[in-house]
Parts: sequence; structure tokens; C-alpha cells
Amino acid sequence: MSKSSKYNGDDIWKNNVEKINSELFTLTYGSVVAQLCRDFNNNYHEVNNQLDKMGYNIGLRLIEEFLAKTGVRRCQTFRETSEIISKIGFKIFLNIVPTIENWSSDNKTCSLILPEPNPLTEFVELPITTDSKISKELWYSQILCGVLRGALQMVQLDVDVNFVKDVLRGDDRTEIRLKLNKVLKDEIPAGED
Amino acid sequence: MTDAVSASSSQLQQQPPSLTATPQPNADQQPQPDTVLSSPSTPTAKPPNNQSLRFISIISRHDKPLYIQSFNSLPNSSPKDEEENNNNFLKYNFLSHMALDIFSSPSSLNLREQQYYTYQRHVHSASASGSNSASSNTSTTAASTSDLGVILLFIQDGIEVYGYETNNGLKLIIGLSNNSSSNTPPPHKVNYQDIKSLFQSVYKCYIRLICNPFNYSLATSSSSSADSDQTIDNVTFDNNIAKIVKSWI
Repeated sequence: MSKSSKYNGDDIWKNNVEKINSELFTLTYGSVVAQLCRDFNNNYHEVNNQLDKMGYNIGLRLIEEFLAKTGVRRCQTFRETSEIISKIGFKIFLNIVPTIENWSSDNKTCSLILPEPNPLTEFVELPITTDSKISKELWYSQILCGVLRGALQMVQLDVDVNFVKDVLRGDDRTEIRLKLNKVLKDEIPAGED
Repeated sequence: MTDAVSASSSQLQQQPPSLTATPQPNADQQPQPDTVLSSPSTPTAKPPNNQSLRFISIISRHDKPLYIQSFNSLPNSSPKDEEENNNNFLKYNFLSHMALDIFSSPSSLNLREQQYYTYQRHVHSASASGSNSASSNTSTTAASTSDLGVILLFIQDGIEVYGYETNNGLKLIIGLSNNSSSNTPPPHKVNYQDIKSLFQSVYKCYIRLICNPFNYSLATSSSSSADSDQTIDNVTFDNNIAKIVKSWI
């Protein structure tokens, strides 16, 4: 897409972005997930929901920083949006560039394939031996779905984001399904003209 | 015959933790493809040497064994071989405990420093003659950061036992035996850097294991109590160690 070439994720990553130690990040996220599992007594659906909510709150604020750092203009199509998300958004926040595949025929749904190594899941191994349902129920990186949902909601896109495959569960790759429901129109508050 | 071996094992093992890890024939075992270990953490290729790796032990800072695994055992084709494997395994348990004594005794500390500094001088003289300057750089920096490095602890029964103590008090112990029929096997003939990188790989495996947020053995008690150490019982860890052993041979 010619428009996205104006914004180079690599340059922004190199110059404009404060960085932290990736292992600190990985270990912090790991302890958050492990603590949530303990708090909810291994009710992994609840853990997924919590991670999604946390991600949502992060996403609401993250979009401001993203727009400030990159100055990206409004996208015309959802295809552009997903390109910007993967090439610039993921790049400047996580230094990974997911690939986009599997577009649906109406151009509203696509898959993001997260590359290995995923910074959230370094060193992680789901304890299948002690708890067999963890690998069927927990989506470890669920927070990413929440972030995408929150961020896109602030730019008036209502999306459904969920995981379909996860390397931690034994699949061959990590895949997120991103589906555009509708474009939200700003409503004029009652009483103003 | 196996009864005799198990009876003797219950007598000989006085230390409370009795590991249930059985000796593992590694030569035919294919490490399963583990989906988490995607980053290359296996060690670099080693020059072929005539030393075979006999066992690896990991002992916690409170002197509790976390992991003892023997390698390169004879195939269990006959009961006699199996008995010898079991005997060897006991012997390695013993050697690990002996190694602990040497780690902790203060009189041996001087010995270790001496050993380490003779190695330094040996390397420096080699580098003065123009060879291997890269390794001398790394060893001088190691000395300046007070890293005691790999130490030959003792030689017993034809097995050279090397030890490495990390900053945290974790002790890694590796036993090598000489396969060749050379008449004088001096310890410093073995390449120090090779052994050091072997220890580093084992240490990296251990770090990967404890960084797993779902590894509950570390999470459930305070850091200073000796009860917090549990034996390592993780398939991926075993596979990674087996990979390291394979690439060492």
C-alpha cells in the first residue's frame, strides 16, 4: 500500500520510542498471568476475560500515544488499518511485525500471525501435566486482543478480536482473528446542535 | 539382582532428598520437538574430544540436590549392564555430594583460587606467544569480575568432576570421564573454554526453566527457607539437557 510507506515503523522504533528491557516485560507479564490464574482458582475463562479487560483499558490510552508518535492519518479502508496496525503499531510497541493473512471476501476480517519469538511468551510453558485444561482454555496473550479492541474503538471502529491458534497450546503458529463489525459514528450529545 | 541394588541404595543414601530420577540412556532418545523452545539456546559446536560426559548435577544454594542425571550409560541389554548402570548412578550421587564438601570448605577456597590463577597464567603465557588472544581477553575480564569460573573439584574413579558456582549460590556439577587410553590425562588438557561453555548452556537451560511463570515450585514459599527447593521435574528441561549432552560428544 503506497500510503503506509510514508510511515516507516522501523525509523520510528529506532528514534522516537523509549525502550525497556524485554525480559523485564516478559517476566512481569508472566507473573501477572500466573497471579491471575491463582486468584481465579484456575478458572481460565475468567482469566481470559480479565486479561481482555486489562488490554482494553491499555488500548484506550495507547492509541493516543500511537497517534502522537506517528501522526498517521485516517485510513480509508480496513485493509489499510490492519497494515498500519501490524507494520507500525506492533512494531513500535513490541518490536514485532505480525503478518496479515486470510482476508475474508468482504474485506472485513483478517488474521494476524504473530511471529516467533513472541515477547510475551518467552520462557513460558503451560503446565499441562499439573492442569490439563489450561491448554484448552487459557489464551496466554489475550491482553493483545483487548489492546486492539480498545485502541480501535477510540478511532471509531468496532471490532471483534480473538485468538484462534497459539503456539503455547501446541499449534504451529499464533493467530489472532480481527473482525470489523461497524464504523461507529460520533453521536451529537443531546441538547447541542 | 535389582533388589540388591535398591537395598544398597537405601542404605547408602543418607541425605534426605532421594531423587527418583532414573539413569537415562541418552544415545537413542530423540528429543521431542518442544514448541516453546524456539530461540536458539543450544550451545555452539564443540570440537570432538575423547571425554564423555557422565553426569550433570544441579544443587541449590541450600545444598539440596535439584537434578541429577547420568548419561552415556551402557545400553540395558543385560541384567549385568543394568546393574552397572544403577551402580554408576549411585556413584554419581556420591560424587555430587562429595563435590558439595569441596564447594563449601574454606580451606579449598585457596586451592580453587590457586587453580584458577595458574590457569590464568597458563593462558596469558599462551597468548604472549601469540595464540588465542580472544580467550585470554575473556578470561581476564572474568577474573576482574570475580567470577570463579569452572573448577576441577577432584578426580575419583576415573571421573573428573568439574564444578561451577553461580552468583546465586547455585552449583552445577559435571562429571567427565576419559574414554581414550592415554596414560597421563592431566586435567588442564581439556579445553577450559569448552567446559565453561558447557556450564553456561546448562545454566541457560536452568534459567529458562525458572523463568517460566507457571513453575510453581519457586512461588509457594519464602526465599530463605530450605523447603523452597524442589527437584526439577520438567520434560522440556530434560530434553534441552539431552540436546546439550548430545552436542558435547
